[in-house]
Formats: sequence, C-alpha cells, structure tokens
Amino acid sequence: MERVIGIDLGTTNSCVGILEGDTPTVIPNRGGYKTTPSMVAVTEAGKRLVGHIAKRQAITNAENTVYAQKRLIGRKWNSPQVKNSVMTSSYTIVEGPHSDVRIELRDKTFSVPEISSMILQEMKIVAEDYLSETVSKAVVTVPAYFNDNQRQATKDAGAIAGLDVIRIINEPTAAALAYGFGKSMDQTVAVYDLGGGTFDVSVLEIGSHGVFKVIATTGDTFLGGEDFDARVIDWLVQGFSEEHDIDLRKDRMALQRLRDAAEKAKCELSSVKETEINLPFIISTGRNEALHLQRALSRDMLETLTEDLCQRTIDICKQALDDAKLDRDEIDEVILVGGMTRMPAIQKAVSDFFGREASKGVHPDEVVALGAAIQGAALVEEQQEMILLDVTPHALGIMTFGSYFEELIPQNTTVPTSRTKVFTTSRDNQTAVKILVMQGESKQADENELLGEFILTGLRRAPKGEVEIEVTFEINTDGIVSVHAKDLETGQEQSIQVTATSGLTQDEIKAMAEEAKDYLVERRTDEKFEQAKQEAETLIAEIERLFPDVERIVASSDFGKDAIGKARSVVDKARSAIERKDTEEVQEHVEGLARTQRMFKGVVSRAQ
Amino acid sequence: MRSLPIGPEEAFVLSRIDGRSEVADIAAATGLDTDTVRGAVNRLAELGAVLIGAPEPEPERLKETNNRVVAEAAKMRRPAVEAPAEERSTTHPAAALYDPSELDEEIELDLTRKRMVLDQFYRLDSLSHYELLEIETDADKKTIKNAYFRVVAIYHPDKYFGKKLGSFKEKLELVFKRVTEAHDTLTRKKTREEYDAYLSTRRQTSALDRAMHGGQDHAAELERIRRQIEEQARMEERIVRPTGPPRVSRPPPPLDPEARKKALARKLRASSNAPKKATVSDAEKTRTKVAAQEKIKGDFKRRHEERMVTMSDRQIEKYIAAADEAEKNRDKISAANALRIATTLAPDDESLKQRYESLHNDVNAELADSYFKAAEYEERQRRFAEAAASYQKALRGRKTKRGYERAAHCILEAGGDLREAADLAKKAVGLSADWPDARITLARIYLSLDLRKSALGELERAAKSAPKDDRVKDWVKRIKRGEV
Repeated sequence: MERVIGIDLGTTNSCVGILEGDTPTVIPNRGGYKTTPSMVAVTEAGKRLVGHIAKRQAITNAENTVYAQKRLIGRKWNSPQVKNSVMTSSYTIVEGPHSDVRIELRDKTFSVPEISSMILQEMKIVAEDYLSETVSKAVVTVPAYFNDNQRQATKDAGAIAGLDVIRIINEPTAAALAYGFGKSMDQTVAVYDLGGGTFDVSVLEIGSHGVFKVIATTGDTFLGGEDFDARVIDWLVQGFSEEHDIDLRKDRMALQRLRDAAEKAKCELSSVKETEINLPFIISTGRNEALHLQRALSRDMLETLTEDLCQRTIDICKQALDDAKLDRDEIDEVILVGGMTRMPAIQKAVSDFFGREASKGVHPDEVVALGAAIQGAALVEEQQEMILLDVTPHALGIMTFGSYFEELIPQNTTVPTSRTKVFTTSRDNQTAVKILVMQGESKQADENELLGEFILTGLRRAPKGEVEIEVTFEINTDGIVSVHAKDLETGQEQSIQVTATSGLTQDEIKAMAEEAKDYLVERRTDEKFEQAKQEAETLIAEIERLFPDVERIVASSDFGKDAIGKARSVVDKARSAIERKDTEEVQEHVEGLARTQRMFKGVVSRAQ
Repeated sequence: MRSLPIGPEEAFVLSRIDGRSEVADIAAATGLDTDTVRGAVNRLAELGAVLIGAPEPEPERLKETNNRVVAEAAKMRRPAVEAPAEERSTTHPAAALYDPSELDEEIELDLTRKRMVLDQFYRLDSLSHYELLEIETDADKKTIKNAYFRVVAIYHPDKYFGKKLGSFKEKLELVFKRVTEAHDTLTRKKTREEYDAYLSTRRQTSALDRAMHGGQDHAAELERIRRQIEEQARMEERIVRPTGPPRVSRPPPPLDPEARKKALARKLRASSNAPKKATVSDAEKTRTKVAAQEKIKGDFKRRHEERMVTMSDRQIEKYIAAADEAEKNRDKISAANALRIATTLAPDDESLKQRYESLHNDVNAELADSYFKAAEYEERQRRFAEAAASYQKALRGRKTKRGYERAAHCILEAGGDLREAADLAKKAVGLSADWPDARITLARIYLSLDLRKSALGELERAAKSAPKDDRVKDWVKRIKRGEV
C-alpha cells in the first residue's frame, strides 16, 4: 500500500507529516526544521529556490521572492484582496489570460498554483528523503473558509508538483483529527486557527466509532499573522516618515527588511515585554547619506496596534458558536492552531471568550500536517477506524430573478448531500432558463462566487410563474458539485458537473507539470552533487586537521612520505572536482578520501 | 423441561401452547385472563421454554407435534401475540427486496458488505428515522448521536475509499444521506417535533385503519369474545346449579365442546336408565322416554341459549358502554372497534348498525384525510414511493380524481409499477373525463411505457375537453416533433 503524506500548505510556513504505525509524525527537512517557509525565489541565474534558502536571500532579491502566495490562490484578478496584495507586495503581480493572477519573477510569468506547486514539491521531496521511497499521494489542507475555486487551485498545484491530492481537508478539521486521533472520547471541541494569512474557527464533535463530525465552520481568508505584521510595518513606516519625511514603502528592499523585522519583533514579544527594532542603512537619501531605523516596540504597543484584529477573531468565534447552535459552556475543549496563537493577547482573548484555558496537547505549527497525514492513512488503510464528516463551508445556490441568491445547500451542511427546490419562470413566454451556480453567503448574487452556469431550454411558452423547474444540487464524497435542472412538465433535464476553476486550463496544468519535472531532474542532479560535495568536504576537513600530526609521526619514513604525497593528491583532485562541479568525479573521490582519513586516524591513534 | 422453575399457572399455559395459538386462544383454553396468559408466555420465553415468533408456516408438522414446545431458544423476537405496533414494522423479508443478481456486481466489496448495503438501501423508504438509526422513539440526543456515529462508521463511502464500488457507491451515499437526514431531523428540537407529529399522525392513521379494516386480529378478537361468552354462560350454569336438585361428585365440565356433548350424552343416558313404570307398554315407554329425553334436551338447550343470550346481551351492553365512553373521549378508534364487535354480536339491532355505520363513515373520511395529509408531506419530502402508498390508502376512504391522479403521479416519480400507475390515472380520467391533469399524467405514464400512440390519443382527448390548456397543446406538439 502506497503511503499518503499530509501537507499543511501554509501562508508563511508549510509542514509535512506521515502516520508511522499509529503515530503521526512530522517530517523534518534537510536543515532539521519541522516547518519550511512557504517562499519561492528565482535567482539571477534563473535557479529556483524554495523554503529557507529562498527566505535567506529575500532581502537581497526582494522583487523575485514570492511569499504569502496562498493569499492569491484561486482568486480573480479584479478581487479586492488581489488589489490589496498588488499594493503591498514586493514582487510583481499581473493579470493572467483567464482574468486570473500571475506573478512575474525575472523574465518569466508564473501562475499562483505553479508557485504553490514548488512548495508542495519541496515537501514531497522532504518526505521522500525521509521515507526513502517515492511518494505520489497526498492530503493537502486549506483554510476551512476557502471556496471551491481556491480548493481546485490547490489541487491543481498538487498536479503540477506530480502529487495526486486524494483529498483536500480543512485546516481546523485536521487539527481536531490530530487532537482526537486514537483517543476514545466524546467531546465537542472548538478549533481556533489563526495562521499566517487566514483565520478559521471550527466546532466539531468527536464521538464514538472514530467519527469526527464538523458542526460549523467559519472564518476570514484575509485575516492572519501577516495583518499583524502589517500593523507593525505601518507603525514603523509612519514613525520614519514623521522623522525623516521619507516613505519607506517606495523602496522594495526596505519594505522587505521592514517585513522581516516586524515579524521578528512580533514573535519576540510573545516571550519578552519589549524589543528593539534595529535596521541600519535602511535607505539612502539623495545626498549619498544613509538613514537608520531604530525603535523600541513594547508588547503593550503591539497589542494596541492589533487590538481590532484580535477582536475580529473573537467576533468570528461568536459566529461559529451561533452557527453550531451551541453555548460557550457546551465546548469541552479549545484547540489553538497556527503560530499566531503564541501571542499572549490572543491566548487571553480566546480563554476569556470560551471561559477555559486552551488545550496544551497540540503543537500549533505541526498539528495540521499531522491531521492531514491521519486523514490520508484513514482513507487508504482499511484498519484505520476514523471517519471524518465535514461540512460545506459556504452555501450553494443559484441566482434568481432580480439577481438574488437563492440558497439550495445551506452553509454547514454535512456532505455528501443533495437538495432540491422548485423554481418558476420569471417572464411571460420564457422558453429557457439560465442556471447560474453560485457559492457564498450574500443575499445579493453578485457578491457571491460564480461556480458555473448552464441553460435549460425548450420550456413551454406560458405566462410567468406557470412553468416549474426543479433544481437539484448534489455534493458527493469527493466534494464534487453537480447540478440538475428538470422541467417538471416535460421531464426534460439538463445538468452539469460544476468544475471549479483555478484559473488554469487542463493543458496549462499539463505543461506546467512537465516543466516542473524538468526542474526536478535538474534539481536532483544538484542534490547529488551537494551531497557528494558535503561528504567530500567533511572528509577533507578531517584529513587537513590530522595532517600536521601525521606528518610529524611518519615524515621520517619513505613510506610515510609517499603516503602523505598520495593523500595530498587525493585531496587536491577532490577539491578540483568540487570546483568543476563534476558530481561523478566527486563521488569517486569520496571513497579515496575516506580511505585516507581512516589511515590518518589509525596512524595518530597508534602513535598515542 | 422438568428442571425449569415453572409454576403451576405457567405449566398450564405451557400445556396449551401448540405453536399456533395466540394469547386469546390460550386464554380461552385455560380460562385465565389474557394478561395472565401473556405474562406466563413471556416468562416461559425468558426461560427459553418457548420461542415467540411469527406463526410458523408449516401447519402440518406442527399438528403432529401438537403441545410440543416449538423450540428452546434464548433469542426473543417481537411476540406475535401482540398486535403489530405499526403496519410498517411488518416489512418484507430482506431477500425479497431486491434482485439477488445485484449481489453479483463485480466490485471490491465482499458479499456480506454487499448484502448489508442492499438490505439497508432497499429498506430506506419503509423505515422511520428511529428505525433507521435503530433507536427508541424517546431516545435522547446523546443516544441519537451515538447511533448515528455507529451507522456512519459502516456506511460512509470513505470507509471504502479508492475501491471499485460500481453502483454501490451511489447506494452508500444515499444511505449516508438518509441517515444524516434522520440524525439532523432528530437532533434539532423543532424538526424533531414536526417529524414526531407526522409519525404520530401516521401511527394513529394506521391504527384507525386497522380498527376499521383489520382482518385477522379482528376475527380473533371476536372469536375470543364468543368463547368468553360461552365460558361465562357455563359459569353461570354452575352458580345456578346448587339451587336445583342436589347432585353427587359431578366432574367439572370439559372445556372442549365435543367433550361437553359427550358428557351431556352420558348424562342423558344415565337419566334414560332410570327405573321405568311397569304399566306402560314398551312402545309407549319408548315414546315417553324419547319425549322426556327431548324435553330435557330442549330444556337444557333453551336454558343454555337463554344464558348465552343474557351473557351476550351483557357483552353487547358492555361494548356499547365502551363505545360511548370512547366517543366521549374522542377516541374514534376504540369507539369504532367496540361498536363493530357489538354489531357483530347483535346483528339484528338496526339502530346499533346505523350508529356503527355512521361512525364508520366518519372515521373513514377522517382516515382518508389523514392519509392525504401524510401523502402530501411525503410528496413534499420527495419520498414518492411512500406518498404513492399513502395516496392509495386515502383512496380507499375517499375516491377523488385528485387522489387517483396524485397516486399515479407519485408512482411514476418513484419509478414504480407503471401499469398500476396507468390504472390509477385511468380511474382519475374515469371520474372526470374533462380534467386535463389526469389525462396528462396518463399520457406521461404511456410515454414512460413507450406507448407513444396511446399518449398522443390521451392528449388529443384532453385537448378536446380543454382546448385552451397550454400544457396539453405543448405536449402534443412535443410528441409530434419527437422531442420526448
């Protein structure tokens, strides 16, 4: 049975997990970190960088480093959220061919799923290295409040990365799975998930027979740690402008440095009361004079700056409880997810609201990936006793006369499900109806997301309101929405399977997947070289360290001289191969170096 | 069997159990009241001495093993001696629900699972939310949730993720949806109240229906009453006797009518053996003897009949009183029941008959209304098979064109027996030849049966009677264009 990995594709950080036996485990990356920054960069040489490496060079290559692309995934170019990102991002966002969003890096344009796919591919490789086997199936998490287009875009990202995303699950749900997995309990839990870019609250029942039932889920896809950072950046920018009358936002590099500093200060203030923000040479004035930024930020100040954001999350918690038709005291446990929940002000607000301390049992950065891994295992492994009953995060319906939204499947309906409603014609002698399938909560249809449309023709000419059309919505286990419309008089039917669009065509996805594969081959060779280089360099360093001792001990004998000469030559050859980046030759030399190192060690230990 | 801790009463009851008798029969056979018998039977069942179940379909074998305990089994089933709680609980055996060839579909599910899915799937329409979750009607929220989780852990399609499921995938999803609907309905106060009200109407309706049209259990009830009357008449005889000429050590009257006749014959023979008068000639003696015998026989018969009449009258009075009381309590079911028995006991009482008939009509109309309401609720819930059944039941009490038309329509929607649907639609047409709706429905049924010509004929007739009806015109046009 092929193993399924769980990936938490976060706004700022991503994480990958697997179920090992009955233990969900987070897989560390090559640097030993359990999370990988969700950052992608393209270097001057056209090389793609992902994760820590991309983050480290972000300041010097701000324009070509993408962060928080999750905020753009599955969104339309003209949406207010995209407009906002265009204003504040240090990289260039442009309109794509299907009124979608594209990102310009160097001279190439990338779709948002393509950028996400690079991160997914990185996580895939992390898992493959750890498991020493290829991985092709994954469960990927998304914010609960993501709509179908955003979910589809995430699936497409998986396809580009060569991953079959067998299921998309909601982040707070995943956290609850990790919390309740393997425990026999009967609890109602609330998950407060404040991530880098999104906020979700879900209320779940964890019941007998391994059943996890989501009762309600709600959130805000544009509220997260980034917004807290932005408040600090605003404060810094404003202060600087008051002092020097210079707008730091106009300088992309300065903005990137501010961003880093703000995030760092915010994190520090979770454990200390005050921190210093120190950014020397932040900008140079026209008179060839450099300015520095130096300011102290206190925890109180941070809390004042972000008070309204904190309150917004609590309002959404209220909404979630209302939707679940539960009182606060009916919640048995509160689970905090996301790095932002380390902020003392958040913890206090949450415990004040729910009237209880949050669970200490889960790691806020890792719990989502663990939950995804658990769901993956539960799907493919028959012996796993776990069933997740999730809900539709948004209402589904159609647009009716007067551009109203008529809901068929309400928010928070357990899937799979199907609902039927009867509609009538709105005009006299109307012979066709257009069924516009929409998703959202607004009564005004145009404020909701359009998922698809089709036309039912051949209606009888009749005064308005006389011809009845029965519309059925169906969501199956895989989350696929299909809509049927039926003329009740003739029994004539029309239906579509609503395929959410990520803004990419199937052909585009295919082409991108091919390209990603090419990149992977290139990367694989790189990796082999890096590995051989590292091994060789470690050995060379050891040999160099032992050289003086060995020379002292054996230089008197001819045999010793010969051996030292040979050792020198091996080291030199290896160094030259490393310089030439000849992977195979470096690999060949590793053996010789290892032999030399063993010999040197033996000489030294015998002499002692 | 001897080792069982059985009391004399239970042993008596046990001796009368033959595998076919119902509580009423046993009560009659033992002279115990029905509650005592029921109690004894249940105790015996608990001890494993008898198996309570549906009547065995093998009367031959059972006759041979008369008085034999049917089986020693610990498993308790719903006692057949109790009237079925509701009509719907008498679901057909699962095997008859679907074509067994459905089990042959080549998918990645084992036979047991396939069977489980099909059993559940094909019973969906006949189970109440409570039955579906296998819980009591007074179950609390927690019980409902646990039951739901238990069922979900079996039928959720994710349990079989990545497996080739063929037609079973949709079936699993439908089972899941229905179970979820049951859970959602029952865990919300408002929807549960609405549903309970619907169920209660349904239950009352079917109880009313049974009371009015009940077949077997009604006959059994009547038989029981007859026996009771006879028994009481005999008891009366015994009480009266001590005032008559003293008799010595008379054996108690056997219960069996045959045995009673024999006893009577013995008695008669004994009296004929009495000393005779010498003066009377043999022929005369014989004549006198015969006359005396006839007289005694006649007297006895008359006395018995008189007592029977008295007893019967008392019973009739009792049932009329019960009916009065029930009517006062607006319990039409019990009233109708009581009156029905009373009229059967007093077939010549015209006023009683009239009263029963008027109540009967009343209840029937009410019944039809209830079924109509249930049918409409079911149609709204898109449970067409159930709606069709309810409409048909409503039709028994009130034969309306709309009833026939809706019943036909619902059968068509449910994908039921189209011939039956056609018959119903024809009846609607028969009741109102000018009503286009009935003809349209009939035409649609014909179309589903691929009887294009008949459909067209029907619509043309509809067009004649309702020339302005656009629907009819549209249909005709569509059929002629070959669009349908």
